Amino acid sequence: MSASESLNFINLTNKVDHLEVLVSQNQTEKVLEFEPHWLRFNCQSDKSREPSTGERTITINNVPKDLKIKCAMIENDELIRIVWNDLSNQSDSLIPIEFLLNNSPSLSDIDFNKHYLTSNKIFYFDYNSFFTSQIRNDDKIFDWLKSLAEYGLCIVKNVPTKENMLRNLVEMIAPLHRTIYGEMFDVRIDVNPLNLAFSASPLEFHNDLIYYESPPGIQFLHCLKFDESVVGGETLFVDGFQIAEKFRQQHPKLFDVLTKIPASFQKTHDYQGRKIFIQYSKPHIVVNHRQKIIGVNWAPANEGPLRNCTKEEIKAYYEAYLEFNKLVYDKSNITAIRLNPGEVVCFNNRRFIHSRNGFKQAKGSRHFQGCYLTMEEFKSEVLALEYKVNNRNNEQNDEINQAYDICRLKLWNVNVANNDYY
Amino acid sequence: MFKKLILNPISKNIFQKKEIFSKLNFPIKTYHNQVKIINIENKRTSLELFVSVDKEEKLLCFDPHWLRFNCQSENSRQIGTGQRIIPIQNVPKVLLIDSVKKKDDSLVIKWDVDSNQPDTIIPIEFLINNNPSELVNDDRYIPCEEIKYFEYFELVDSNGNRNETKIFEWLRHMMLYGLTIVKNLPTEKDMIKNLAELISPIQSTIYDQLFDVKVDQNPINIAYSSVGLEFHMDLMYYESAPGIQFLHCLKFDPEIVGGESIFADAFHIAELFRQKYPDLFSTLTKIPATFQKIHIDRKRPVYMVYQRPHIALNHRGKIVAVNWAPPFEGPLTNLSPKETKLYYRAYVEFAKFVYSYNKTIVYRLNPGEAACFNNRRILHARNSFIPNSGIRHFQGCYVNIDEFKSEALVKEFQMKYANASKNVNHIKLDLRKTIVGNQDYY
Repeated sequence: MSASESLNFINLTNKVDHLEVLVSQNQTEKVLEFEPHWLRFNCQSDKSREPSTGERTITINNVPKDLKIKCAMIENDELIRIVWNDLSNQSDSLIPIEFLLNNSPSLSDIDFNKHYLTSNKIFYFDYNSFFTSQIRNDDKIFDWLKSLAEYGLCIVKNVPTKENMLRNLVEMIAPLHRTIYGEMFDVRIDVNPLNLAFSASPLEFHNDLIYYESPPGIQFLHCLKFDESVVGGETLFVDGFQIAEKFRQQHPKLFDVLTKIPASFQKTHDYQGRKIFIQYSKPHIVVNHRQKIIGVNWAPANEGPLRNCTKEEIKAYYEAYLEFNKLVYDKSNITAIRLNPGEVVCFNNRRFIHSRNGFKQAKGSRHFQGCYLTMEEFKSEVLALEYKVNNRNNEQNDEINQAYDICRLKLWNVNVANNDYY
Repeated sequence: MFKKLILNPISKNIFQKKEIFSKLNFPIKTYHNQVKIINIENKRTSLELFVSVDKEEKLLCFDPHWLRFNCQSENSRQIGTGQRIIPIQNVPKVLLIDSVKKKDDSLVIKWDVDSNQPDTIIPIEFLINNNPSELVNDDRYIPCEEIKYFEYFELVDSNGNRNETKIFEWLRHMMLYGLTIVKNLPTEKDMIKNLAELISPIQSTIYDQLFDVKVDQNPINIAYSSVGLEFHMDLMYYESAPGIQFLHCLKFDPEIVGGESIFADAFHIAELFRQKYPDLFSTLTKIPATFQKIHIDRKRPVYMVYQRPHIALNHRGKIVAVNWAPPFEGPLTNLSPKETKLYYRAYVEFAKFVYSYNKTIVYRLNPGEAACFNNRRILHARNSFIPNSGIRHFQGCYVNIDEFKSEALVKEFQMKYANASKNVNHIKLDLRKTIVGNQDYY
C-alpha cells in the first residue's frame, strides 16, 4: 500500500504474457509491468473478494500455472477488465485503475519509500487540546499520533497525576497490550524487584520485553511523582534505526554479521503465582529482502548464551556486538529527558532503545506508571484516524471511493520497526 | 494379523466421522547426571573442555567473550531478577584467558591482567547444557496425523483444582503434535476461557477476547457464515499471530449437513515441499507475501497490512515459521516482474501441495468438545454447511505463542526438577528445542 498521488494513467497494452501500463509522473513517462497471476489474484470483483469483509475467495487450486491475457480493456474510465485465454477457464478480472497504480509491485522503480522521520528536538502535545467541551478533537489527536508514528518519540503534557489516568489516555487509541507485567505497571522502588527497572539502579539501553516474538509496540510512561530532591533518574533515548544505519555505513561487514547471527534473549520470572520462562533467538538487526532495516533488537540485560553457532560465527558476532555497543553509548546519539509530573513520554519501543540514569531518593520519591500498545493495532488506529480526518466532508461513501481514499493514506508508508517486510 | 487403518483421501464435501483414539505414550528421557571432567585446557584464546556425559565423551570448545558474557556470578547477573549487569563498554575487543580452575561445580576463569575483567564463574552444568556449538538437529516436532483427546475434568476438577501432571501431558502434546481435543467442557458460554486460562491469560485481538463463530447476517469475517473456508491460519497480519487457538463447540445440531473442521500440519507440508521442489521452496522463503485486513464498516475499523515470506528460515536453514492465509492476502508490492513471476510459480505449486496433502484430519466437533491447536502450525479449514434450520455455534479465543511455550517449559521443569534446586537457565529442557512457528531462530 502506498500513495502515489502523482502517478497518471496514460494507456495500457496487452502483451499476452504480461500487461504493460504507461503512466506519467512529474513529466516523465514510465512503463509498469503486471504479471498475469498478480492481476488474477488481485481481481476486486465480487467473484474474487467477499463484498463486506474484503476477504479473498479465489480457489487457488483452480488457477492454472499458465495464464495468458486474451484482451485487456478499460471500462467506465476507471476499471480495467482482463479477459483470460479460453484454456485457462478463468472468469474476467476487474481491477480499478487507481488500485493498479497504487499497488503496482514495481513501484520500487518509481517512488516507493517506506520512511521514518528524525528530529533533534522533542515534540510536545497538550492533553487538554484533545478534548473540546468533552468531545474528542480528532484533528489534535491525529497530530499527536502522526508524530508518534513518524518520529517515534514525543511527550504529552498536562495528564492529571492520578493513578490510572494513563489508561484513559491510551485507551483513546486502542485496548492496552497485556504482557507478563499485566496491563499497567508501576515504575518505582520495589523491595524485591521483578525487574531492575523497579529499583533505583541505572538501566542499560534496551527495548522492553525483547524476548517476545512481538515485543510491545508503543510504550507510554506517565510521570506521577518525581520530586526535585531526587537526584538522577533521567530517561534516555537512542534511535535504533539511526545508529543501525550509522553502523552499516561505518562497518558494513560487522553490520551484516548482526543481521545474520541470532542473539539469545531470555526471561525467568516468578510473580504472583505465575512462573515464566521465555527464551527466544533473533538477530540484533533485521533487514528485509531489499536490505532495508525493519527491526532492531537490543536488550543486554535480557541476553542469554549464544546458541547453535560455530566458533567462527561466535567470534564474528562478538566483534560486531562490541562495536555496535559503542554507537549505543555515543553521547551524540543520546536524548535525555527528565520527566515532570503530569508528562507522559510516548515512544516506539521497537525503534527507540531507552535507559535510565540511576537515582538517589533521600526524602522524595519517583513514581511512573506505564503501559503498552500492540504495534499493528496502533498503526491501524492511526490510519483509521487519518482516513476519518481526511474524509470528514466526503458525502460519497461508495466502495470505489473508499478504496481510493484508503490507498491515498500517507501513513501506510511509515516504518514502525515491527519486522514488516513492506 | 494386524489390520492397518487406512485413511481415505479427503473429499471436501463428504461427511466423514472419525474418532481416532490415540495411544501415544510419553517417553520421558532421563537426564544426564553423570558428568565427569576428563581434561580442562586453557588455550588462551579459547577454552577446551573434555568431558564425559553419561559415558559419552565430548570435546567442548568455548570462545572467551562467550565465557565472559555468560558469567553467572553476582557481578554479572543480578541475583533477584537474573538480568545481566555487565557494562559492555568495559569488555575489551581482545580477551585472553589467564587460568581456569575447577571450584565445586563451577569453573573459575581468570583473565589476563590488561583486560581488567573480574573473574568469571560458570557452573559446569551450564557449560554443558548451553554449549553454543551444539547444533540443534534432531526432530523438533512430530507430524500431526491424528487427534489426541483429553478430558476437561482430568485437567481441572469440579472444585477448580488443577491436575498439573495431566495439564503437562496436554501442553506437551500440543507442543510436539500441535493439535488436541478436550472433551466434556461444559457447553456454557465463556467456559472456553476457563480452559485457555489454564495456560495463560487470553491474547486479545481485533476480535476481542472471545469470539462467536456462527452464522451472522452481516458477517465481519467469512467464518461467520456457512461457506466453506480453505486452509489458513488466523490473523496473519499481526506480527505475532495468535499462538494456540481454541474452538469450543457449544451447539452443532444433527440436522446440519457439512461443517466439519479440517486440520493439516503446515510444518510437515512445508518440509515435503522442500524435498520435492527445493528451488520453489527457496523462493517462498525470500519473496514476501502481503497479508491484510482492511475493513471500515466495522465497530472497530481495521487497517492492517503486513508483509512476510510464507516460510521463514533461521540461520541454519531450518523452518521456523510458516505463514499461510489465502483469504487474507493482499497485493504483492515492491517486487520486480521477475520476482513476481517466480513468486507465483512457487505459490501456485505450494497451494497445490496443501490441497493434495493426504494426512489431513477431518472431524465434526461435538457439543462440549474444544479443538485446541497451534494456529502457527496447524492449518484449519471448514466444509461449507447447510443449516436446515439447525444451529452451529462455536466460541473461540487465543493464547500468545510465547506464553504458551513458556508454560509448557515451566511445567516440564516442575515435573522433572520439582525437588531439585536447579536454575532453569542451567539445565536442558526437552521441549526447549520444539519448533512452535514463532520465528524463534533457535
